[in-house]
Amino acid sequence: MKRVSMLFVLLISVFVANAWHRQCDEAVVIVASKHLSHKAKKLVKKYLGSDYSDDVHYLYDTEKELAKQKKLKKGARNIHDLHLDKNLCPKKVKGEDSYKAINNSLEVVRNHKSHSKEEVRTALRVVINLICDFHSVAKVRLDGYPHSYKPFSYTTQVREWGPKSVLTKTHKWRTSWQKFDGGFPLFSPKYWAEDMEIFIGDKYADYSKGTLEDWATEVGTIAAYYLEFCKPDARVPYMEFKSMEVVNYELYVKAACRLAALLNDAIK
Amino acid sequence: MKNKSLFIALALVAILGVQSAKAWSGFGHGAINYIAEQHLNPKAKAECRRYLQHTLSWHASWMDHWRAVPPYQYTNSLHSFTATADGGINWKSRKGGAAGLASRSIKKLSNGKYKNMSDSLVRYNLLLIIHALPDMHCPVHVSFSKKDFPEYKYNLRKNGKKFSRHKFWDASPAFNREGWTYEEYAAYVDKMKPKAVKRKIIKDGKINTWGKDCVKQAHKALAITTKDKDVAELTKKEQKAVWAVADGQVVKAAYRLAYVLNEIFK
Repeated sequence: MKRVSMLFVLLISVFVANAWHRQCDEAVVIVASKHLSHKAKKLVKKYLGSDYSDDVHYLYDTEKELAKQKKLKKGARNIHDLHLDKNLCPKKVKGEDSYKAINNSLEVVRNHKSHSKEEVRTALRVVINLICDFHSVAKVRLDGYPHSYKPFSYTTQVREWGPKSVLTKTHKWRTSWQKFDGGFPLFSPKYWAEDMEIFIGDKYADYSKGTLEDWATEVGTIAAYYLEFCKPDARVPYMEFKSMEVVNYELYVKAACRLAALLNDAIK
Repeated sequence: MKNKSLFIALALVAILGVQSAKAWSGFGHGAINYIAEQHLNPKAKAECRRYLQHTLSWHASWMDHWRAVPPYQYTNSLHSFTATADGGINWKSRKGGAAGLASRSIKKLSNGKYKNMSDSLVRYNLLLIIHALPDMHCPVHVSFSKKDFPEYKYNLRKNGKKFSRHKFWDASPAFNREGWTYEEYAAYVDKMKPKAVKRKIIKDGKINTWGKDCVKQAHKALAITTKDKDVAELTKKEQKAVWAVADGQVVKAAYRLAYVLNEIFK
């Protein structure tokens, strides 16, 4: 009960800088809902209604509202980060990070009968909101990589031939993981979800294997790889830069599969 | 050596599922591929998705993103085609440019030949088709020789400042349509009935015929945005004329792309 109260306090005082585009977050929920068990679907429907794609913006919208009222507490956004130690394992943090918050919320969902409707509702919203953050490389705070704790910029060489060979482009580390290049804002969530389903194909079971801890390590491994050469003011090869989009997309798809897996496991 | 380069190129395409901007602009390419996808028969749609592992729109602009990277630099001159003085495709210039690139890849996959190819090769050729065919429909991706059309060497203005004509027409489908999704755009422009599509757009299904039509539309476009025209001050009539050409070319490219893919996988 104490944990839930803490969660409430956090939820009221917190909230999110969206990890990915809103459309993408909605797509994650659409895809996950297709992979929910009958029992999980029924319970989610009971607490969030049949269309809960809007719930994915719950934290973000609340944050915006609190910021407007100047009530957003300092450090409140830490809940969206994933703190990992040098062994790429989740580490103990003051308050909650996404790993801890998801675990706590799943506990509430698991024991939904002993919690109030609002508590379960909030817990479901937290899981839905944070699963995307949890899979976002930009949100990883990794021991041994101090630059993962602060915003920084790096450059890419965008042309590799001719007189414009020195032409470069600067990217912010965090935002370069928060957006997909080009036309993706032009995908509706439904179309995004369609694309993700094609990509998942028969890989759903594979993507959803493991525990939250395993997945934290997986995201951490990817973060460590890119943080190794994406350092403040570093010049990143264009090919490596482009590969980030591919990695990002796959993490996205995994977030959707794993959201379904977590809820299916919690609601048996 | 040639084989090694091809291998590297194919491997890159296989590893990197790409996306986005430029040429017809990200919006134009994505919209063309989105509309084309709506006109694929179930078999062609399933085959495209099996090979590409994504929707067509996802890959629509890949050639714009990779044109600067060594294995794909050879495609850099293949985003447009040169028109002959009599309004056709100049097959001698850059081997037909975008038209030649699309045409060669279509030929490689047609008549069931794709069945005897590796998945990565089919995938690579599909990627070339879904970008090059739409590219040849962009009015400013038809090049005119300076000798035949010296009057076509000019720029536009935007709020009084010099503005690239190429940039304007590349982004013309999204002109004053900020925030539209592909679905919204498609619902607005994709209205032709199948019989009319076959008669007016597909015609004999030959790239040469489509190329001639693209040249005609390019002349039309350049007649709307004449030298030093300020695109921030277009009249309503001129805006409508821009959309008519831009939307017209987008749907033509989409229907023709769908036709090509349906034929390949029939």
